[in-house]
Amino acid sequence: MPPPQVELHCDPDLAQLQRLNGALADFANLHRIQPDSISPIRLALEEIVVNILHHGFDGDPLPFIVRLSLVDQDLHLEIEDYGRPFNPLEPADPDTNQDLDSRPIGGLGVFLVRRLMDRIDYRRAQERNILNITKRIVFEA
Amino acid sequence: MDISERTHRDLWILKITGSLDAVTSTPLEKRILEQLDLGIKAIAFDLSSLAYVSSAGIRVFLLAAKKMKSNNAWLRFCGLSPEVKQIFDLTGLSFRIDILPSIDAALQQFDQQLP
Repeated sequence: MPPPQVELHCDPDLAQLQRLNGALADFANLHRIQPDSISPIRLALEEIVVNILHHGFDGDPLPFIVRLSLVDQDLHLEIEDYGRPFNPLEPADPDTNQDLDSRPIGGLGVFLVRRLMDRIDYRRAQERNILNITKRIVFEA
Repeated sequence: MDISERTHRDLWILKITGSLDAVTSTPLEKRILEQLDLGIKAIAFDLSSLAYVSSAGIRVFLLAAKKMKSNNAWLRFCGLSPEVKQIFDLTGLSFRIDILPSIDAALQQFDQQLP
């Protein structure tokens, strides 16, 4: 990941979603990025954070870090957490063609991340999951 | 996220404004389940002011669609923005529900149902 321009240390709490959305919106404003470009990034970030908080820990969850960086037309997001090893690229896609009756409710979050982002890189280092995602953005005219 | 409700005969119209994320989906799910428990037979979601939906919101809608279908009940999703429609499409929800361009279209369809 390129040097972060924004680094947010987050309590392991869903209430942080609002703070993260605000930070993304501020970042977009500052760099004159179109709001439409930010929506899928906001969604990917939410899905990753929700996964960390809901599935990453047996006991109390630990804080996580989100970093943002803009390089040319690509927005880079890095999420670092101390949860159990989890690579979002591994789960199989849910079967979105299944009938409603046989559809399980879960599995959609990381699937959306994989479909909406341009690039996802995962590594595990020193007891941490480090996820890098990249999305091309469009600037305001 | 705000929920506003009204009824049109026995159709329950639920207008959702703002964002449906992992936090705000919870009160929506609670409200829908309350109505489902009361045996609601017709629901129209007015999503014309819904700006954002994540998998949490999709799950609530999926649950509503499954339960309404198993009750042979009437359900419409109205006024989806392109961004929201994209998420409905990606998750496959679009292909299992009825989507209309506006709540007015839903009212028309509802009123035209044969008794």
